[in-house]
Amino acid sequence: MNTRVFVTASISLLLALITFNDLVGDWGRLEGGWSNLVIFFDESLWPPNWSVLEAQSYPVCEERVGLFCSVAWIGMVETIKIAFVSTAFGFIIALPLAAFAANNLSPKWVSFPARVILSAMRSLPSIIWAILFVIIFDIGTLAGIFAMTFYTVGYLGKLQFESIEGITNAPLEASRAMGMTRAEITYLVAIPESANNLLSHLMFMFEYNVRHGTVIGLVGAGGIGLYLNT
Amino acid sequence: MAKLLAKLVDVSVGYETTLIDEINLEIYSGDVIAVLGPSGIGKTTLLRTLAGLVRPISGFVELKVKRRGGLGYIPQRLGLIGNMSVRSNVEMGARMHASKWLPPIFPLPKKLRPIVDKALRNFDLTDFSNQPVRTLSGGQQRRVATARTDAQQPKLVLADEFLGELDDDNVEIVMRTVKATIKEKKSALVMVEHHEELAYQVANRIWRIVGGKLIEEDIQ
Repeated sequence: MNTRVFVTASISLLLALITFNDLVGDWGRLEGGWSNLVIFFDESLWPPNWSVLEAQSYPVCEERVGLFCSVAWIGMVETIKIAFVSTAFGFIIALPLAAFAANNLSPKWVSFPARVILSAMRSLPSIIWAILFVIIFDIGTLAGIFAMTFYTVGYLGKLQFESIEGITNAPLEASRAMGMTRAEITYLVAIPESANNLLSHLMFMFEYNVRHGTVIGLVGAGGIGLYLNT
Repeated sequence: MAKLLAKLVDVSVGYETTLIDEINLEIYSGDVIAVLGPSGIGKTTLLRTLAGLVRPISGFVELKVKRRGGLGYIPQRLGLIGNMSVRSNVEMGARMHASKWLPPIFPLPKKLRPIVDKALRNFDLTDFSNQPVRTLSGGQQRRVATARTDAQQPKLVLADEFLGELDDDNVEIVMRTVKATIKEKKSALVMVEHHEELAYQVANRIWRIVGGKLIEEDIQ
C-alpha cells in the first residue's frame, strides 16, 4: 500500500470514528441494551404465533393442506409474485434506458438525460413510491407492483449501464467500423458481452424485491407486509 | 481494372499529438498492404483512422465503399463476443453482408445461413461452431474474427496484427482464404504486421512508418 492510500484511508477511518462518536453522544445509553433485547425476545417473539400458519376462517379453505390458506402462505406467495412481476417489468424497461445512459453507446446529450431519469427513479425509496401508488390505486398489489417496478428501473438501470460501460472497447469498435447501427450494437454486442453481470444484477434485484415486498406491504401495497400490519 | 476503394489526402493521424503526417495514398481493389514500423509509431492509429473510429488531425479519408458492411475491421484484440458461440459471432458478419437492415431482435434469415456455413468451413471452424468463443485458444479466436469478416464480405478489410498469434498452418489457412476472397470479390486488405518476414510473403504493397512519415516501399 503506498503512502497516499494509507494516509487517505487512515483519515477516512478517523473521520468516521469522530462522526460516530458525535452521533451517539451519550454512550451510557448502551447500558441495559442486552437486557432490553432479552425482554423483547421473551415478551414479543416467544412463543411464536403459530396461528399465522393455520387456515383462515374466511374465506372457506378448499385446499387439502390448511397451510395453503394461511395468512403467512398467502402473504409470502403474494410478495414473491409482486417481486417477480416487478423485477421482470423493471428489467425490460431498465435495459433500453441503461443503453441510452451508457457513455460508450450513446452521446452525452442522450446519456445525461437518461441518467437523470434513472437517478430520479432511484432517489425515492420503494416505500415512498408505494405510498404514492396506494394513493393512486388504493390498497393492494397493483400499487406494490408499480412501486417496485419504478424502483427496480432506477436501481437496476444504474447497475446495467455501469456493466455495459465496463465491457472492452474492441467489440464495440469492430461493430462500429462494420457500420452497425446503435440498436444492433446494443442488442448484438453490448448486451451479450455484459450478460454475466446483467444476469447477476437481475438475480440480486429479485432477491432485493422479495425482501422489500415485506416493507411496502406495511403501507398497504400488498404482500406479507400488509398482513403484518393488520 | 483495379478500382479505387479509399483515398487519404494530406492526412495527419494521432490523438493529442501528430504521429504520422502528410499521408497521401490510395487503396485499390486487389491490394494486400502490410503496414510496418516499430511499436507506438502510429500503425494502429492509422488503421483506426481509416476505419472512421478516430478523426484525422488534418486532411481527409475518402472511402469509396458502402458505409454499412463495406468495411471490415479486425482489431488487435479481435472484438469478438466471448459469451456467444462461434456461429453467432460469424452471423454478425453475415448480417452486415445483407444490404437491407435486419431488426437485430430477429434471427438471421435462412438465405444468409449458407454464407455463415461457408465462412465456418473456410476457416476450419465447423466443429466448434456451437462452442462459446471464450473457450477457444488464441489462434482459434483469431480464425473466428477472420471468419466473421469473411461472412461480411467487405470491400476493404483492416486487420491489426491478425496473423500474430497464428502458427504456420493457421497462417496458411487464413491467408489462402483471404487472398482468394480478395481476388474473387475485388476487395483489399490493409494489415498492421509485426513479423516483417511474414508481411513480405503475403503483401503486394508495403507501407513503412519512419520518423512520423509513411513511406511506400517498392517491392515489385
